[in-house]
Amino acid sequence: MSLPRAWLLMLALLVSVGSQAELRLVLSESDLSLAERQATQVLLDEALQALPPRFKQQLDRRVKLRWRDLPAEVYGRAGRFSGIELNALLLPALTDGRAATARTERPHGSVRRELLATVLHELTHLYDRAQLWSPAQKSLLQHCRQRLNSFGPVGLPDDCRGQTARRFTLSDDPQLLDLAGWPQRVGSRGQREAENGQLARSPDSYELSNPREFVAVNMEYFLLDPAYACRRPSLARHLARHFAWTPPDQAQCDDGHAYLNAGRDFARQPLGRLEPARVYAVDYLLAEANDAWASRWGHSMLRLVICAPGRALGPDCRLDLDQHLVLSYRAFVGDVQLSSWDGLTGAYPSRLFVLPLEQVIEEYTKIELRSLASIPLQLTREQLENLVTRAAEQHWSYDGDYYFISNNCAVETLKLLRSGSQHPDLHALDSIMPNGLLDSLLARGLADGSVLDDPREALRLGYRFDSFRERYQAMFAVLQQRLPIEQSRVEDWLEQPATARQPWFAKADLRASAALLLLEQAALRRQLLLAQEELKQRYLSGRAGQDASLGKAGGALEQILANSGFLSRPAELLEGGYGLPQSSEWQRLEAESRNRQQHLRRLSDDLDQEVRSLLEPERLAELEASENNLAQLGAHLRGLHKASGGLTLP
Amino acid sequence: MYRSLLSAVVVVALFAGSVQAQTLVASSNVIIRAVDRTFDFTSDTTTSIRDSKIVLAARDDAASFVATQGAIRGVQLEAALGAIRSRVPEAQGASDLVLAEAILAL
Repeated sequence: MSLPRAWLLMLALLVSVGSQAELRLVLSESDLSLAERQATQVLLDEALQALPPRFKQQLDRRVKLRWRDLPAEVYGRAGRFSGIELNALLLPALTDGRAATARTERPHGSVRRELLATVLHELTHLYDRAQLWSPAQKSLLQHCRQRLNSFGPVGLPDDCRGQTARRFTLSDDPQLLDLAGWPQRVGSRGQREAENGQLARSPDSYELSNPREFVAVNMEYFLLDPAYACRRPSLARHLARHFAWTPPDQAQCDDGHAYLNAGRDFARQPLGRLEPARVYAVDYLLAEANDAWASRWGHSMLRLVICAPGRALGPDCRLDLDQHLVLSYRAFVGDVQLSSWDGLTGAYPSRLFVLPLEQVIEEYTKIELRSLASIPLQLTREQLENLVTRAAEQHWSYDGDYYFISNNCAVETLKLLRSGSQHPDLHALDSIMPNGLLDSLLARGLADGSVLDDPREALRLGYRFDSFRERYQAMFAVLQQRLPIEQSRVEDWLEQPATARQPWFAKADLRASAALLLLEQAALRRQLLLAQEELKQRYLSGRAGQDASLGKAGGALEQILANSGFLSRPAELLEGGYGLPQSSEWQRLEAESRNRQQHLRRLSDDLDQEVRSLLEPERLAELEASENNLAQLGAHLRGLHKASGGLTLP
Repeated sequence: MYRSLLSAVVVVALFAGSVQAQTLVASSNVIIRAVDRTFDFTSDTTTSIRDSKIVLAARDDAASFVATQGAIRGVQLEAALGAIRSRVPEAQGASDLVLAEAILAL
């Protein structure tokens, strides 16, 4: 063998030894009994067994482990040089096997599982600190640091945001921080929020202390809980992608995610199942700003275009309106009185409400007289399904603080879009205005604005929901054309007493009657709004002055507001468990939500009974006259239809 | 300094108004619902087309369509027309206007 060949062989040997070397756990104590050593060794072997191959290969070092005297509440800790230290108080129970059956209050169950989780937790800290980036990541980080040095923070490319000062393998990864609940603070070039709002249904609130602990705690569950991928699917996906590995023996997840429908129909069971596979599209739903000074920036929501059962995914699903849901971040105000000061200082919780589309259409277009635009987001199937799943996760875990400016509906919606879809173009997008966010989405090709090009088609296919202000104008024009009325403005027509409009009904043909029907509804809604305003004013002033007559109705209203909190914070219905509820929790969830909803229904029945007696007599008379008009118009329409021999629906 | 502070106050006041309007929706709706007796809630399990949610939700769209002779054609009507045609054989050949009138006469 020639000399160079020998060298080559040596080199090959060295390399192969290097690649086979991996993480070793060594018990570094001599004064343990044989049984103690054996029990510890079995634990360590199990820990190594549970780790992903990439983890063990990359963390190529010898980690010492010893039993130390530690405070009773601590299972263990890890130091850079000291290795892992476990609490010696727990050694006897591990050795004689009691630890395997000793139950704990924590989700891991037994003391032995806790010890195993502790070893994995501490090893994760070591892995995280070791900066074990992949070659591709390393070159990205280097590229980003160079860009920062030469161009400064303003000239930084989008994909460098959050990558210029990385120190950890996992816990300062921008995507991980998005999923973990430390999102980008709006308008601060990627700087992260200090507080974590994903408070509810946490397996271990220690994870909320900082991103390093978050990663370590989540690795425990990722590696030890077969249901982790069902309970925290987005994080499980992130970790599985990082390690290019899925833990063995995964649990079978349910088809859909449980959610609570915050619709106003208290007679209906609010618990539902949201199946990402049945969502055809996700639209950005914007309640457009109107002339009123109070709503000039609009409101951001997301619309889930869900297909009716049995219908294949496709454009036809756009007409399954009764299936569609709206995701809307709102401040939860459990009181009639809203304080602007509390809103500015974040005293109200910000929560993700899931609402039926039809209710949202009615509230905006018919009550607030604002139009809605529903613009399809351009997402891949994978991005879309991940976004829907992420929304369910937020529904169960998020309980943030609403700030009128820095954490409003647009900011929250953007955070959900970013963390859910992980679309690269969303990473560096910033907007605090609902209409500004839509413009940014359109500009980056993330939303398809062409659906609005033809206004008639947009209305017919549900990309635009027109404000009823426009409809009332159109109806009034029909009325002017077909009946010799004096009024020249729709407002003047509606301001007349109901009894002045009523005599026209008999003279109205089918078209005029149809127009009158909508106008009578407008008149009734106007009366309702006036009644509501009067009641609210009376209630708020009466509360200060102890007005006894408002007692029962006011009590019912306050209780309805206070008790409806569970609809936006469903976590309070369950005890134990973490993340998305699983089938074992479904029964309790069903029973609890039904109970709460029945309570709400009784309260709302009480309010229904009381509330009319509180109205001023003139208001009540006008309201009843309006209702009477609507009933008469209905009868008139049916009469015309029958006389003309129209089709009767079965 | 003074100027930026002033504009901050103005922005704050405007935003406060906007969110106030937004968040009061919940309590307002409770009151409106309590006062209003024309709301009717329908069950999901109904079998008759005239009681189906999607058809009842189309009543306002049907009225707009009939009044304007088809100029205003909303998606709720569109959805109801599809639902009726797929479930009622004699409706398949009927025009949109005939069906809209039928919805209006419910």
